[in-house]
Amino acid sequence: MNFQGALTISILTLAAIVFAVFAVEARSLVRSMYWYIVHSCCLIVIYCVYAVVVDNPYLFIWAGLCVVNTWILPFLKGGLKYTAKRIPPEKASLPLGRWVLITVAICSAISIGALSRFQLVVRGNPIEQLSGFVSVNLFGAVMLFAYGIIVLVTRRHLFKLAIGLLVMTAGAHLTLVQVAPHFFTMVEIEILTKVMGTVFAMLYAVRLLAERYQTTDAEELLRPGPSGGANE
Amino acid sequence: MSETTSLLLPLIPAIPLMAAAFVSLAEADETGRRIAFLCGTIPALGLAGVLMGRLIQSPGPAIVTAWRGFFYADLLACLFLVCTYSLVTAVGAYSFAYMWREYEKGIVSEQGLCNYYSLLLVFCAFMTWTVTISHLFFVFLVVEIATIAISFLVATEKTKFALIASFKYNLLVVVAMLFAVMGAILIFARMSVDYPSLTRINLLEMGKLAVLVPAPMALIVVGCFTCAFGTKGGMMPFHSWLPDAHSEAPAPISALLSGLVIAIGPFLFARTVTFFSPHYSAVAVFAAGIACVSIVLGILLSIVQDDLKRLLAYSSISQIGYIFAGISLGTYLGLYGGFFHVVTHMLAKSLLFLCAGAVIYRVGIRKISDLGGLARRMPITAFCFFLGALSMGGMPFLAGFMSKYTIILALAQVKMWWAMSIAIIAGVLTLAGLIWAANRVFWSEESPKVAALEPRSLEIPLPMLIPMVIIAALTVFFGIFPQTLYPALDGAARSVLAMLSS
Repeated sequence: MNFQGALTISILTLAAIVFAVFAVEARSLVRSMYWYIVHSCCLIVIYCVYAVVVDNPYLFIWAGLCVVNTWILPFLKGGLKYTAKRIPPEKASLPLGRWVLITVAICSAISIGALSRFQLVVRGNPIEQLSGFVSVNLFGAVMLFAYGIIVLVTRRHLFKLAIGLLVMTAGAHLTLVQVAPHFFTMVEIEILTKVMGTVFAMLYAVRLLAERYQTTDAEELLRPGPSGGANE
Repeated sequence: MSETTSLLLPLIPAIPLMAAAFVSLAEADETGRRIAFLCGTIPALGLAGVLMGRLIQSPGPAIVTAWRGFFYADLLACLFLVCTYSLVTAVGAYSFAYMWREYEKGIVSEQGLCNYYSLLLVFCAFMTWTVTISHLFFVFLVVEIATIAISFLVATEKTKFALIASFKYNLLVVVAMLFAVMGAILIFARMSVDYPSLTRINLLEMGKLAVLVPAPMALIVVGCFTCAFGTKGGMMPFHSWLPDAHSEAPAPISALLSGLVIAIGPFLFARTVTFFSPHYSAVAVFAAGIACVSIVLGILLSIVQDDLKRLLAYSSISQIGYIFAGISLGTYLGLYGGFFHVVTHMLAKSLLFLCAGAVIYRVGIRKISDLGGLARRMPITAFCFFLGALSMGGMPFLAGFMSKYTIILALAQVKMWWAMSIAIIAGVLTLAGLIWAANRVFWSEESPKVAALEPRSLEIPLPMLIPMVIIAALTVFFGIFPQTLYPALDGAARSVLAMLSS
């Protein structure tokens, strides 16, 4: 892998993390969806750069399959946009959750930046330190995965949980590319099916809940009320 | 391990898929749907039986493959296939009356009924692929699709809690599978150093791969897989989807979830983590430790429940702990006991859930404190529930006793006295808890809500009773003649050990 390629991937990984944070933090659900698309576009470029720098044309197929994330999932009937327009937006999120998310985002950005600087400046000739770059990028991918977990743990809005799941999936996918960029497996199909099938199934449940109970906040839904209960 | 090829393997899931397509697209009436459903499961069950018979007759550990090894079946896979198709057939037959009643009450639409049967058949097909595909990433894929099918089945009644349970189940299992993918990625990354031409992780070669993974990475991989398959299996502390999904799903689906769906976790565990146990002793201790936590907390939480289905759901968490405890040891006796308990738990717990469904069908109440004195009104259901409870509690001469006993012996064999003690104590608690529930629901004084019900006999219709009675009879049969399962269980355990030593 050459130096420019590794650096480009580092920057794009950082961008993917930042846009994932925007997608989760945006109050408007439609805007959240658009940030998610930008995040997915970063992933597409990362795969393309990898395809060029490691000379593995299969990664172009992976990038091409990401059209699911940028077009089908957001714009198909029953997808993200369709659901975002039919469910109530997120109310003010928990301050603790918000602070945790922002802290993680800043830490990941600083860590990646600091490690890159460390590789670029302190250790001398950066071109000889490409394995260091790979580990920096791997760190970024794992951060994306971890951020997805944090979103799942801290958010209550069901739509945001779906976004968190997508971010986590992107992190897993990116990790695979980082650790074994020369190999082609069918994991992409596995992940895409997961995204397509599971997220569409989840969004279907979210729409039904919003239609009947006018909320998609997990805490409000689980609060005992006249409409719910074990013997409903 | 001898290897033969057979086209039966790809053919088995094709049958339920074709039936599912017919049910969805042919706009058949209820009778047509029922016939199509049975045509989708019974022939597949027959083929799975034929395959199993062929493997049992082989002199040593044998394997059947198809499509250049993409599909494979050893006796463990065949055991799961036979369990899958027999339980789905029984559950489907029970559903004919149960779901029709839901339709008559307006809870489920005609389209909903159509979807119900086709999703059951789709689940069968993907369950078949789960146990017969050798490509690890594709296994994760089919597990996901089976999960989606089951999550829709959980949400059949579309109540608030059913929808939330379905969402939660989907979300947690997908997250869990992402951990499994991360574990597989770590193995893949390590293998790519030694085998640059490697393009996939073959489950049949996991025994070989497990040796090559260095110790620190092996523990991370085991952690990822345990988290993933523990969640799928409903093991504590990854269980949070299980009580909700079990209690909110229609009773036949609860039976399927408890009997079969959670058994996928131990199956995948046996195909992956077990291979690490002989090389890293910490793996067996770690997995047995988590399993024991599941055994104890599951039964303690079960005892305090007032909802009959939640009580059974928490009991499943405890029982799945036994299965994981046996399988994680990686010894012959542990594997044998674990697989044996998969079968006996499937029988007993599905029987208990079907009985709970019968109570809900007739009385419409799930709260144990509101029930009582049903034995006089539903004698056969009461008897079946009692048998299921005794079997699950490990009463001698019932199926559950022999399987639990084998797991306890396996724990003693590896000198895990602490785990063995926990398993014995939890077994007693299980028996006490389930008998208490059976007594409270069926034999105690008739509650005012039950007394107000008319007519006097509340026994469920014959089509619902037949599957229950057959399962109850099998519970007794395998308790008295456990050796009838020996060839299949012995072959299943030996096939895992053969892969381990390869």
